[in-house]
Amino acid sequence: MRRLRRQAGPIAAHAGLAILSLVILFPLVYVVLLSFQTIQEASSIPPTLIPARFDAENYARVFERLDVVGLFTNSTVYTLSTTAMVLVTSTLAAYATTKIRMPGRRLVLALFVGSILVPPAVRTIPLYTMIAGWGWVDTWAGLALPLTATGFGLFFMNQFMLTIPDEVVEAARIDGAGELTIVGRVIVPLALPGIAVLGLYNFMFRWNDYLWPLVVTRQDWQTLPVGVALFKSSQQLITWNLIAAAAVVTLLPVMALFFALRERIMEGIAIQAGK
Amino acid sequence: MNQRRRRYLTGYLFLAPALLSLAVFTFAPFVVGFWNSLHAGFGSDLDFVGFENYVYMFESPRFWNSLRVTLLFTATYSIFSIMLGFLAAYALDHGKIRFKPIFSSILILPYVVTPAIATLVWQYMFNADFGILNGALVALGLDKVAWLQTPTGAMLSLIIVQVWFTLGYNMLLFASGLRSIPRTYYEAAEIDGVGIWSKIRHITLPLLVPTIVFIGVLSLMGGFVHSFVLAQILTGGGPFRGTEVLMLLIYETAFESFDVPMANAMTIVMFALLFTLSYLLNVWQERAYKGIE
Repeated sequence: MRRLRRQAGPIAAHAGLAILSLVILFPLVYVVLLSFQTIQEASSIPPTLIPARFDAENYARVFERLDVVGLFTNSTVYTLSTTAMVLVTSTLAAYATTKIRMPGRRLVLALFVGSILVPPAVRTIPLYTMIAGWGWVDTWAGLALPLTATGFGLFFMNQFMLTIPDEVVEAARIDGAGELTIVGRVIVPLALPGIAVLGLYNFMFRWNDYLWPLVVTRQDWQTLPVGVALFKSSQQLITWNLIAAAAVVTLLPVMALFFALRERIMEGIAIQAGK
Repeated sequence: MNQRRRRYLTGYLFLAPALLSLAVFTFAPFVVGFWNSLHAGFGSDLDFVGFENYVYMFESPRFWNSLRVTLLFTATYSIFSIMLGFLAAYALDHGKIRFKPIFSSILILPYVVTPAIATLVWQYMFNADFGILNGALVALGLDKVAWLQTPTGAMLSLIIVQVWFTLGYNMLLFASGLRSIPRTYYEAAEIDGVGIWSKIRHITLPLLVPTIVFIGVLSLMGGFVHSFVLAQILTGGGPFRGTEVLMLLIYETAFESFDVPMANAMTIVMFALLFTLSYLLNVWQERAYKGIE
């Protein structure tokens, strides 16, 4: 009886976690199944779970009806260019605040933290007002330049570089190395784990962006999530199976990154919790 | 000396791109937006009207409705997501759980998934006729639910999806908070014969106050900001404006009514509100901390 009571806790915990995991996982498995269903299966009552046949027909058709390649290219350019810029601006800035320590760096840090309190979505309309005033709507500059530096990235790199010992930098200075050389040859290799986590996060954030690209792009620079959502709302009779195929294509890059670098993502969240 | 000054100069140069970017794209828009909100008109054809937009906003029932909807959504989903996230983290941390990495990887998946895309999938699942949720209810011999056809059902659907999105992230934040509580505290309590609920109430929760406040601030931001993609895709704000959250009203004001100055005025008010609420949460945290010491 006592043993049973001692085991009741763990059994309940396992059962609870298992049920929760199934509920969380279900929509993501379902969208993959849906992407292989025929339109009859996708709108049948009762609903179909497993399609009768697995072929790539929906994928071929959605590539015909929606410019998936163009949207995918835009998303990739937007994501990679903003991530590259964020890594450069954050690494340089964090080196300055943690290893050069000029006067005024406290104020700069307060600015970094302050800008975290202004989530990008909150400034959407003011930013749009400004970008539209410059005639930058539906251009790469209008879409990507506002995300060259983020409060999150700056603060994250700052915290990471604090963990790199100052002696490393001083030793390099005594050897006569210039600051830019120190960043390139000494700091970047040592900060690589932090740079990787920040790059990973920034990639996910930008790839998943919806509101900003929706507001600031029209045709030329539309991104994949926006394109897929508009594809759905443009239809009278919604072809859910085709939308599912486009959805799977959209999810593929972030899912691949997630499964490849799962531990890094978890670490990143632990770091966020610590600050 | 000279060398140090040169180094400082290099430091400022290194900071320049980041500071310039923040100044131009994060801080300047608020000045531009505020200035714009004091005008009326379309595009660049604007007349200065002072605070008229703000007066009009505070007299508009649609604005108050969106505020009510946003706060209801934020409060309800936060409570569920925080409670479930805590329970999941507690189960993961305290039981001798097998497959720990598998559970936590699955639960964090929605954090990684593209919100617009996952919301589309949920919209399909909520479909009253061929949706899998009603399909499951019918299979269990229950009645169908009009998920997206009534204001209450639509709000419930929004909350369910948002809890789905945020639960795993909250769980991981709680898990790292739980790991920082020394085991010896629990052991001491066990020697005194304290039960599991007292342990949670008197040891775990007080020590988790900073984590709870951090999650609270994030949930607040999420409720105001993330509700846009859910409401826009899932319900379009309907039915009867029952899910027209503030961010969606702002978007519609700018891009459907083409009243950008009014949208800017609403943004300024939303920002002030968010700022005040997260400030209050932080004050509460400091008070709560003093209570412990």
